[in-house]
Amino acid sequence: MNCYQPYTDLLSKYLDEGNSESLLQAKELGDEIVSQGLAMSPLLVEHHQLLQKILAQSDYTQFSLVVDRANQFLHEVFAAFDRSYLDTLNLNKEIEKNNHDMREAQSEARKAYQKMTSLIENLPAGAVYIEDDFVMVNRAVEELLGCDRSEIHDLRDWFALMFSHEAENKLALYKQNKKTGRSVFETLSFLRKDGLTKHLQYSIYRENNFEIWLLLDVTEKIKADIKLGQSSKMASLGQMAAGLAHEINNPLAIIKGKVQLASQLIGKGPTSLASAQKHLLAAEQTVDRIAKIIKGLRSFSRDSSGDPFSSVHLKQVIDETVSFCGARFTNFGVKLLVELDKDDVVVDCRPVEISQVLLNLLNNAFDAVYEVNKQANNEHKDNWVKLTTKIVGDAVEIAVIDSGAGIPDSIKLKLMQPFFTTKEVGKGTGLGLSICRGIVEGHSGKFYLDEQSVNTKFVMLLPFKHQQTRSEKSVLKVAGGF
Amino acid sequence: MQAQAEPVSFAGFSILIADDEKDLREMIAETLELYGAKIVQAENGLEAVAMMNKEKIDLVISDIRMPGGDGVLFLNEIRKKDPKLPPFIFISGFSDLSETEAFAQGAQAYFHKPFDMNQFIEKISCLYKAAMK
Repeated sequence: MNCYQPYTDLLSKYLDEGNSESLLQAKELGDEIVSQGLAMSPLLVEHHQLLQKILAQSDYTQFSLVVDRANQFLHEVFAAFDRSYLDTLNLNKEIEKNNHDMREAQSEARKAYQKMTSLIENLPAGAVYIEDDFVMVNRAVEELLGCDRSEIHDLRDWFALMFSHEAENKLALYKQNKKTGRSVFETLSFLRKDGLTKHLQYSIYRENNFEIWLLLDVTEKIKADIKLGQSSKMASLGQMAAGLAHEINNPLAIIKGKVQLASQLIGKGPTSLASAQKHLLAAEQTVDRIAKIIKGLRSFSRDSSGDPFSSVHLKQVIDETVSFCGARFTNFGVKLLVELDKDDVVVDCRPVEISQVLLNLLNNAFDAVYEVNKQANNEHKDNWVKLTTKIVGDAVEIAVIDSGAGIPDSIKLKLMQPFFTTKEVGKGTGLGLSICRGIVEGHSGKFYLDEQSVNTKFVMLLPFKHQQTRSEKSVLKVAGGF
Repeated sequence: MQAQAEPVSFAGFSILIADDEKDLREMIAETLELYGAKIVQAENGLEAVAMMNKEKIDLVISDIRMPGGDGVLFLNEIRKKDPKLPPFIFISGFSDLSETEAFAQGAQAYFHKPFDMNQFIEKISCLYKAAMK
């Protein structure tokens, strides 16, 4: 029994009655069925049976009209059936095609989504997708911030993680900025749960209904910048020393010349006295010029040259210095030999400065030895640095000798120049030896490379008793300021 | 001060002093004028080159670091014309140029400021005698 049963029954009844009125009614009903699109297959089967019935009655002449009508009716029914069948067939094809297309599109979309997620997931930069309250982060974010993505459910969680105690303020500001659509580009220091501090640079890119945050780790860059700043501070100190030497030597030359000129004029007799006085006055004014430079310099440098000279045991200074760098020598298989002429030598000096000179020489010597060994693929046998002392008259000669490759003649002359260095960028400032020389000369001593020695040998000749020299103050202000 | 064996005189000697430091330039000029030298002054290397083209100069005294024309370039300019003359003395407060390099470039003497005027006069005296021979 289907929903068309009442129609079918009615139709059979009209056909059974066989009069012209009932057949007309049957035709109308059939038309209605067709027009309503109700001519589905079970119904057609029944129509076929009805056709058989009508054909069986065809010998009745009064029914010739009926047969015509029945044929006409059936023809229409079949035509309708054909139409609807074709329609259905096409429709089914289309649906199938659509389904296929949809499946294809779905698969494409899935592939594209996978590519995208894999790309975002593996980005070396932290990427965050935010849409209203929805927050999604990639693996780099987890690694950068030392967190797990399961901790981040919404915008509030995200801000709490990123900005900790500032989260509320930042969130308010963020919402305000979001309205105005302003882009954000900021750097922040982030303290991770594991105690590591990360410097992050984050930027927000806004689209209509979502935004992407990009997080970059700039920790190493900032560290490098700080280091660069420190070494350029050293370099600028050297530059200052060079400029200062120029600044001070000029007026010194004027003073010296003027005084000598005045003395010569005085020797010529009373007529030249006024002229001599003029030169002396000019000399005095030039002294003020130097004093002014020195005064300005004080604010620049840590004034270690103000340290008092004191009588100290040289052995103690040497022992302390060696204890600074001894480990480095041992670690790299370089022998550090200390040979003291006498153990109880007492020197009048600024011990910190002498220690600085020694440290500088020992480090240079180590570098030279290390370089030779490195070039021999660590198979160079005799690696040593020797520190010796020897009494020479009323001074002590402290020498640092090394088994390195030696200093080529071509650069011997430039050794003591500020900024001259053979070390690679970042390893040496080129100031070491020039500062050493400044310090030793500030102790009325001599600092030089012993060219007679077979091995590289730097010598510091330090008098037991320090003699005040006229230019000492200015020299030391420069030399001791690092 | 050591006694001079004979009185020093630079009479008829024309000396060019190039230094950006006016006081220093004038101090040297005044001292050398006491010995009868004729002095020409220049503020920097470029100015000095221009003066060399105008006047006959017997001796040059020059600073190294000068704004607007450095002493080494000045020396090179002179030595292009003559490898020895006029004699050239560097006076420098501080420089990357070593004495050896200065001599290699064709300078005859190098004085570091502050220098001793007696030694300075002595050196000029030697150069004067050599020039007068």
